[in-house]
Amino acid sequence: MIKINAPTSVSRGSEYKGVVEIGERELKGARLVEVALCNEITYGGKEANYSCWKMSKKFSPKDARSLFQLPFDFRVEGEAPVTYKGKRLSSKWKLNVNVDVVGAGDRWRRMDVIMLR
Amino acid sequence: MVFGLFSSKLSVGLEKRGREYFPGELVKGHLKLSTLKEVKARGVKVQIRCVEWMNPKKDGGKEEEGKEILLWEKEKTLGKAHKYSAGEWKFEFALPKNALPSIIPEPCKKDANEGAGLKWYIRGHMDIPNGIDMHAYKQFFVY
Repeated sequence: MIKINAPTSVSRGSEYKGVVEIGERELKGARLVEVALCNEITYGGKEANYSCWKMSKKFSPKDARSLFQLPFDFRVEGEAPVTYKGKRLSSKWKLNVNVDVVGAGDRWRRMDVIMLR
Repeated sequence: MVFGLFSSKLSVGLEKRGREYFPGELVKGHLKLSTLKEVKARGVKVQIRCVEWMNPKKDGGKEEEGKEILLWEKEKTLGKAHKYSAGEWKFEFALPKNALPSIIPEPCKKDANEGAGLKWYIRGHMDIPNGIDMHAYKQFFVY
């Protein structure tokens, strides 16, 4: 179980706070947990992401027992791209939780976040 | 006439330092012609534009041309057909109250010209008969 407790929208220039909960099973063999608020800018429906906007925090699950709770907060800059869907341009934000597991596929959970003006 | 233009330059200046604006705000500035000789022009214009743009990084791979889609534009005529010597034209444009916010692909790079985004800019233009038109450009940020 990877659970995200965080708002689905945030305004530019404000703080984005939340908590991620990771269950015992998902923590097995984990060496790192990354919580990241990532922007994706695409043009013309192509896959290329032109954005370099990313805020992230890394946690070590070494000391975790049954349930790993990760409170996080990111300060969103006033110039951060808003969520936008135009004629050819699109800007989206996602909160990504990635559990890096030794010798196995990563475990992850994603959530769409709307960046408001 | 065309050769004389190589010593001429058109530039845009904005009054506000930092070039950061909010919807509904006035964008004030000037278009400046620097020249040693008189420049014969069919007209002088200034435009404010909001565009979606894409300009891929030139990393040695397959080169793709930059693209721009016009979303909003206003134009003002600053001068008609005339012989112009060095000088300045003042202009101002009101941003719409629902102006789209700028989208920049990298933090701290408000003038980025590689990647993709949504940008606002002022474009000055002198229409030169039998010669190369003169252009000037200044980007600004809308919150």
